Amino acid sequence: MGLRRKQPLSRRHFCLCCVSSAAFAATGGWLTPRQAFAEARGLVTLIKDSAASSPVTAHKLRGNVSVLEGSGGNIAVLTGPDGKLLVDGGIGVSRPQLTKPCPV
Amino acid sequence: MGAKIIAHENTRKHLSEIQRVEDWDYNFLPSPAGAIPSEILSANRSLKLNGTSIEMKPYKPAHTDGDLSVTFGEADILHVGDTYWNGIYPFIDYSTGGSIDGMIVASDSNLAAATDNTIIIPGHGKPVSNKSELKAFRDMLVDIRDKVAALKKAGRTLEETVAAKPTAAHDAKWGQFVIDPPFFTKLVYEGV
Repeated sequence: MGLRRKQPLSRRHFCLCCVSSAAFAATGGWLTPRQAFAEARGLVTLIKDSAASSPVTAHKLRGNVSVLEGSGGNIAVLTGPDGKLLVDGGIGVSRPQLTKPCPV
Repeated sequence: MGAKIIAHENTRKHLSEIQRVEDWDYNFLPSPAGAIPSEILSANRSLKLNGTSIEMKPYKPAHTDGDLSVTFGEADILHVGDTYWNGIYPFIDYSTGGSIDGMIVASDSNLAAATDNTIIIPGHGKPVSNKSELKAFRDMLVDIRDKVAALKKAGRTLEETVAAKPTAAHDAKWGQFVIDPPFFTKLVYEGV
């Protein structure tokens, strides 16, 4: 987890928030390592694709702190005259959703 | 205009090189220069910004070896990163030093740092949480760790352990997402 001001986004945090579990129901039981790896490779692509189109919504918490949901995990945002501070960066592909509405 | 990025020193290391995450069978390429943290920390650090007291604390290896928590003092808000997944089984990255026991130690430290009034932000899952939900997460981790450890100690293979469904009591609540019961069982088995 990183602590960041303004933009740069992390590739280290998968957006698991917006991926339907239905997509994985097809696997059924336990997979062999080879199958599991193939499945995992598909997962990363699926997660990125999903994050790319997922909307980002803001929840106001307390003081001047909010949390953004929908981009590779939950991003806390502190606002004020010194600039924005983001805790946790989300996933790079959702940058347009994060910056466009500037939700907080 | 660039941003200033502060991260755990291990996070900068991982972001700067090809990072293989074994359990995803995926190689992450190095981040571009502008996304590499410009400041690192390996011990607690305080910051005052926008009139708010911010405290950053590195964990011992838990989800990875680069986890840290961030507290907003006046607002009593604690962001615990990926040491806490609210309502879903967590991913644990053994490739970068994570472990089930590390996740439990981090959960205990998160509980100790929070009061009933603290707003807790998990890395994944429902974004606004609290101490009692975090306690349920911690208790789930401990119960599954103990069950999987007993099976492994009795000589069960990974496949046999998965077939024994040691997570069954928790699956309805925690197992409805990407890290499904067999996958989470495998992640715990790896660390006990």
